Amino acid sequence: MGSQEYIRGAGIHSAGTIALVNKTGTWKLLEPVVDNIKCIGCKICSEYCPDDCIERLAVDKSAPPDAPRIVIDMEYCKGCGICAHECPKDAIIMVKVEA
Amino acid sequence: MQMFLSGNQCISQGARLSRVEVVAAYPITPATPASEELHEIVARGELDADIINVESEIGAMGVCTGATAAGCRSFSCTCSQGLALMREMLWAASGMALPVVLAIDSREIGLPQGLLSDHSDALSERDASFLQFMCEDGQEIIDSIIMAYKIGENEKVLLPSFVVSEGHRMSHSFELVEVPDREEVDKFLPKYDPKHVFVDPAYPMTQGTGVMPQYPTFKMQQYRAMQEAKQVIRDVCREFKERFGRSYDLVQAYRTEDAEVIVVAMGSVASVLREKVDEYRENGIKVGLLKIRVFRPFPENEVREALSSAKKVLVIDRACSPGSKYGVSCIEVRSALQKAQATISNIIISGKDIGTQDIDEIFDNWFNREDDFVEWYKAGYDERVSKLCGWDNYQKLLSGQPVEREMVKEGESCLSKGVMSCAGCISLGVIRQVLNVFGDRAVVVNNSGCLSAVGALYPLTAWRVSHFFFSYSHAGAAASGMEVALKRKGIDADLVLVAGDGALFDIGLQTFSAALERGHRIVYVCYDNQAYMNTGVQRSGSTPYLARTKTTPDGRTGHTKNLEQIVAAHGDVYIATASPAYPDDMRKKLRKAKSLNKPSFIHIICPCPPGWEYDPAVGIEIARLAVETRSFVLYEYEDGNITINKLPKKKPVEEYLMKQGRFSHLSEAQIAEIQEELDENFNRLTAGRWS
Repeated sequence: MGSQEYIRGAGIHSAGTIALVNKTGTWKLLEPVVDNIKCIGCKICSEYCPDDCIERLAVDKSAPPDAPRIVIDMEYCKGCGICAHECPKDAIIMVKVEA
Repeated sequence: MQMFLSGNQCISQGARLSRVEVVAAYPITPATPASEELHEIVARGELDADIINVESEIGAMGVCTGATAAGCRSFSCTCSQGLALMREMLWAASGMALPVVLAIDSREIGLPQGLLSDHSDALSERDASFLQFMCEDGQEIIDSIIMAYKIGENEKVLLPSFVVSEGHRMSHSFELVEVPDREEVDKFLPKYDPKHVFVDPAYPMTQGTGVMPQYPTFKMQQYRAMQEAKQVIRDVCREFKERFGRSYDLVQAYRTEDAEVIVVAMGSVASVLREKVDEYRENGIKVGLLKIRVFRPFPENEVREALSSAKKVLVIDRACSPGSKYGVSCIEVRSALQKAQATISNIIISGKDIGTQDIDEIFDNWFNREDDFVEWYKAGYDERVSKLCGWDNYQKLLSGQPVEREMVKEGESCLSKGVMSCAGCISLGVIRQVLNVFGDRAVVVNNSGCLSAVGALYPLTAWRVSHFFFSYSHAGAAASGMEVALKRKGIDADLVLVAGDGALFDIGLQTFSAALERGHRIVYVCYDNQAYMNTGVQRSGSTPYLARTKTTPDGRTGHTKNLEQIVAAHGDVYIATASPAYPDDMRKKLRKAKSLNKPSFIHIICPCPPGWEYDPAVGIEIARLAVETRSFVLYEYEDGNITINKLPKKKPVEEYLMKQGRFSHLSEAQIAEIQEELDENFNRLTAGRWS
């Protein structure tokens, strides 16, 4: 038994800690791959991602055409494929995760 | 016939063999598969029974009570909160002398929500005048259900029963069991033929009246029926053995005759203990086991007799009675052994899984001590868990120091990553969108449902804003209390009640309605996935016409409850429907709800990949098609007016239905019927009315 106990009533006085342990990215069978040239950074994919895994980067107009406009958090992406299905430019494809 | 069955399948087989006529069950983990299987058994024509898909456990026990009063053998299965919610009707059933049988997959009663197999749900109903049969394995479940009807229906007894097994450990493990022959069971268990209650216009009677001086007499009758039941149980067990060969009694004593030390237990732990008794006996230790098979009526004489030779007794309990020093069955054992010389110790294991190593540890401790101790087995603290639950913050609060918490910033999600929902869970995405509108001012009250299960598991939480879980039925009331208290304390917050369709359409409707009627400033958000998805896809009040679920294997009959219309009947409420495929529209409606000083109800359609049977990638497309085909019309209701505010070009409903496996069985005529109904619904909404 340690010096620390649990708070009565089973309350959790911390926030967002589930992300420390549940690396849901390990679940995926398919993973999204982004074609940076096709991607226009429209943000539709990040709007629809249920797992908050797609961040839109601030990209200058002068950036080269293949500069990434989004970044996908593969540590947590479950590979559902909604981003690829909803992308208006077909800039995301789902590929099999190598075992 | 020998079959390899899970505990839940044994429950459904027991009910089938007993030829139950009315079944009513509400989804609850881990008991749900038992009632799902009964749906399949009835659908296959193996049992002639009416299965009622009820809105709550109050409904389940109410249906069983009414049906038994009207002369039909009735059955339900539940556990935990479900049994707790049934409580009032339990006393009604026993008070009316109605021999209903309930199968209980014992599970902790929350809060916090346990998912192991503490016996408190059943044992805390020890005074409800239910016979309680505590099962050790699947075989005992089947046999006990059959016997429970025969015992309970006996004129001397006329009491309802629990057949208690253990959640997950038994409900979800498979064993080889002997399923009795149905003709033999028919000979053993005749049709239910009550003589004390009739619901029949040809024989008018009154029941359930107030009684004044006679109440103690009726209570005494129950008390005596319980005492009488002991002999009836012995007789029925004897008859069962003669017909089926398996031997049961009130208790089962194993190698107790010459035992110096005897361990007493109920349920599955008896199997492990029996093995261990043999092993310790081989090593020269005179240990025995007393399994208590019937907890109500409690077999005092059998317990006293079996334990008479023992110098030391250890009672292993799966339930405690806070305020008493001892576990629940230990209280009874001590009462039975008042004059015995034995030291009586008690180990409380609650829902813990107990293996052979645990028994070694428990026995070592017991053998080496002479005192009569009461201990909790392995219920200590883990520092890593304490740290994660924020023990340090709590200590600071206790010592009056400020605590700095990291708040949600503009643009950040109120739920962290790592949520344990299925891949492509639209409900999760919707709740993120909802909370983004409220940000760090949100106080979220959450009914039971998918979201409450996937967002936090102690000591971990995905929630970054205040989040309180309350069980299904009473979240509306708890949110009302919070709203009033926050106002009193001058705390600026937005109360958001987040609930699935099961919670708002069905079991929580009463407290939801009352909260609406009182006008609390709460935003009620229904993430509607159109069935009970958390328990594995059972029909809810929101399940669409003809959709297939596990409890509507041939498609849902009858029509969906119109919750908007019900909500509107409460007066000044802002109502809006939304689809995640149209996030701007959804946000606009949520912002409006946030700005209002009155209740709001936002009903959001949430496709569910496993429940609606589709590839997770197309969830948003389905949410879009729901709107395009006018299966789910986007509108607002305020000041008596319905305004359709998003109307894409119409597509035929077939495009929506055929994307989902739950509609794959539909015929062309059925699709045409659905289309016609949707068109009528849309015409009504366009005309500004629901009906």
